[in-house]
Amino acid sequence: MTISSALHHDAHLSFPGVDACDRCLALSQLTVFLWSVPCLRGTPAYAARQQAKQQGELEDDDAPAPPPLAAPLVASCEGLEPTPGELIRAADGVMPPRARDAARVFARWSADAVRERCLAVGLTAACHCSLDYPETLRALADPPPVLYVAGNARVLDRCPASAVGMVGTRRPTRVGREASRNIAMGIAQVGGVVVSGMALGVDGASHEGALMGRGATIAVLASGADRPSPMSHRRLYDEILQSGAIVSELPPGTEPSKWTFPARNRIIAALSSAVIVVEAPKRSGALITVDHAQDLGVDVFAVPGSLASVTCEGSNALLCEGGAGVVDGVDFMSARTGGSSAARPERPRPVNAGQAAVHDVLTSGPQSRQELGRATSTLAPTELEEALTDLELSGWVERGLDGRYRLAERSAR
Amino acid sequence: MLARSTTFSLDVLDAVPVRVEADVRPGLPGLTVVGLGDTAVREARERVQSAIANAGLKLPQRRMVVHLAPAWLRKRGSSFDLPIACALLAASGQLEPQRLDGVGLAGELSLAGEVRPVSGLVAIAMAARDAGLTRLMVPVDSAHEAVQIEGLELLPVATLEEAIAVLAGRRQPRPAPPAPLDAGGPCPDLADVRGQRDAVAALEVAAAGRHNLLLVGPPGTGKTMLARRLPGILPPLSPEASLEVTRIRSVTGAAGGAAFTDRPPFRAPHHTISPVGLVGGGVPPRAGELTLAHLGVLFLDEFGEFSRLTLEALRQPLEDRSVVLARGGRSAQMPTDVQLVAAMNPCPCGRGGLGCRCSEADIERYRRRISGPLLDRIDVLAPVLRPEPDEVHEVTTTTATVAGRVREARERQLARQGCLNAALTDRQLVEYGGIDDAATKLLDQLYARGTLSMRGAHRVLRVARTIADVQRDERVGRPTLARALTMRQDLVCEDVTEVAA
Repeated sequence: MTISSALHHDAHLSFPGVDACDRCLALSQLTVFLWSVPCLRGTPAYAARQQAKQQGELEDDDAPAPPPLAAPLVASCEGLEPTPGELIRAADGVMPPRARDAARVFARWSADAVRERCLAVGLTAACHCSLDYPETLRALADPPPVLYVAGNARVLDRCPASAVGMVGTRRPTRVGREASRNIAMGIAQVGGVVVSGMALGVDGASHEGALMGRGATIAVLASGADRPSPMSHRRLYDEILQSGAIVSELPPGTEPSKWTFPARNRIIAALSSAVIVVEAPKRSGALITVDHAQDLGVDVFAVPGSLASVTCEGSNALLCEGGAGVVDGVDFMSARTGGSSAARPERPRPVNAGQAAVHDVLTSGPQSRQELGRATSTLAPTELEEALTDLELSGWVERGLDGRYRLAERSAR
Repeated sequence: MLARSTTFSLDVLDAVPVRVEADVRPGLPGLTVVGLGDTAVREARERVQSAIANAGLKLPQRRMVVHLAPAWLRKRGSSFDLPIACALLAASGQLEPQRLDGVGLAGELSLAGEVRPVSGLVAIAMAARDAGLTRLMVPVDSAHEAVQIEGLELLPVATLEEAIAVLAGRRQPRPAPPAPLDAGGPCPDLADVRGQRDAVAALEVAAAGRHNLLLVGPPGTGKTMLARRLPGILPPLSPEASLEVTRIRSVTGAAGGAAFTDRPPFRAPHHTISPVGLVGGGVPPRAGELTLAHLGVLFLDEFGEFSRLTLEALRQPLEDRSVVLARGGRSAQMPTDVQLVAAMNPCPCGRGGLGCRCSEADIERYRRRISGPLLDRIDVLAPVLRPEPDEVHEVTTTTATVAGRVREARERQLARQGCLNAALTDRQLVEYGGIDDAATKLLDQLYARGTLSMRGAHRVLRVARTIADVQRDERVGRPTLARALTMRQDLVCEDVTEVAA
């Protein structure tokens, strides 16, 4: 037992649910500070990144892992008094150029103010020294000092055993989006927990799928857990809160920044027993999650994607190189455990020959009414139109934005 | 001595009577023109003096003042030359002043004394008739514009000398020229379109009900080609509509440019157009492309590339069929009753379907460039796809065939409800729609599923009504509705579900 964990016990008595000691709270604040871009200038990691950028190995959008700052910090702070001055002296050893700026940040900081803020915005928190801290996070090389949680913190108890991380590009193809939604729904329907980052694209679709499957889902944010990011997902944020949890290692009110996005990926990997990559281009942030998962010994799976799509290059490469298992159906959990697939509502089959013919033609891809007319030449135009209308009505077929018909993939309807 | 003549000043889309007063009195020799004219009017002073001298007439060596009344009205253009010259000649005793009573004059003068064409003669002739004038003296080269206006004796003249001779009664006026009907060259025929059965069918329905149409397809598949063939299948304009269209063309166009036409106008402005260019504006207010397409077709190619402001400016004029422009302390109402045909690619890369590299989010963003309220005005969506190899020689139909069906369908609509189907209000739709129970039930089911929005359902019904009219059906049954559903424009509806998902 260290001094800090002894101190921990009386630190939180007047703040129910906020089980975090001064030292860990200070460390989490320090993390935010050190992850802000100006602070990173002058560090070896930043210089390496700039060099890679100049040599054309990196594009602006690529997100390499940030330097693992928390680990050396935690190590160097072990056994110290939890006062800002001590911490800054410790930080000075890790990040010499910015220690004076850190002092300015901490001049007006107090642990109780953070606890009050947590209570005010309805967050609970558990620090590294707390018994409520998810055990699975301790396996990380640099575990978050504090995990802030909005919503139902009990969902975290089901991690990592029944939790599956789902990651992928922010700009998926329609197929990728549907796949995310359907796989997540399959996981939720058999009681699994879907863990993702609530970003646009695959992340958002995965959470949606889990909610459609009436399951719990955990979103790991790159901002404070009280603050939906991106803002366009605030409705999704509210819906996740109903049954699941929003978690973050950053104190309430923190804005997302360049380094917080890749950093949260290690938490997604650590909370999950398996990670599924749905669609990821080369050098995608999703592949950082894969790296963390492989380090942690978490199984990695990938959904095979179209060869024509650049957004699948990274995930397909994972499959080729043997780093990931193949996800070959939406019943991911049962395929993994070898169990029977969950009962899923069957849609009514196409009822007449006309509908069946139209349905068969559409299995080869979206078609316009005219193309369908050519392919189903036995049908009169009115029969074709009636068949299309009936198929739309029963949810088998939908009309795309360009006026072409395609098979509906949202099996929820 | 004082003399007066009557002329007209173009004001937005109309002509306003202007009284030209000329006074000749003792004083330092010279000519002054007052009455708020623009540069062209002020320069009339030089043209008139030279023209009179070169026509073998002469001006007195006295002080001459010309006033254009009303003094507050800003006057522009070169059509004041002839009335100023005639008024001056009357004031100097070379023409009896009462010879100018009851006659309107308009024309530009060359230095040699020839009378040159002016713009806006249709509006001028209408204003002359409305002002109670019986005779109108016009340049011989633009006289054909005014021929269609009845109750007005036209006096076409080629020179100032001739004008004075006709006014003085020394010479018989020339006969009015025949009114040429400008067909504007043959309209491109639908027989040129290969394949595209569905798109042509959608074009026919859009023409029959005057529905706004959105063509979606990859580049080079014939969206523009189809749109350009729409005026050919529309019925010819009625005489009044034709006059209205010619008047707008005459006022806004070049001098002597507008011939009578009964073909609906077709305007296709480039997507870099500004809101003012589209809707109109400036001081004094000038007509935009919307007004130039009045009673015809406005074709907006690359719909998604128009600036957001330009597209939003379209909304109100499309809804109200006119736009009020307030500029420089005055306002003017412009008619904007157009049928909108828009064309866009299925996604930013243009390929759509196979080979498309756009992400869902890219496509979504591309769609969102067109706002919901604007899409609400568009009833029909037609996919225009690359024809299959065996379709490239297939002639679907001809303009003459389709035009006949469209004319009949329109007659049926007008006889039933007094307007075309696109203009039906929701209540009229229930009253005149003739929708049978099976169709109503289908529509209710689609609404319950969320496939159609309320507005979307009404759009489908309007189109279904038109399809029934083309097929000469009194009732809208389930098969008709099913066909209308395959033509529906529901980008707005999809947008809503996308957000909700």
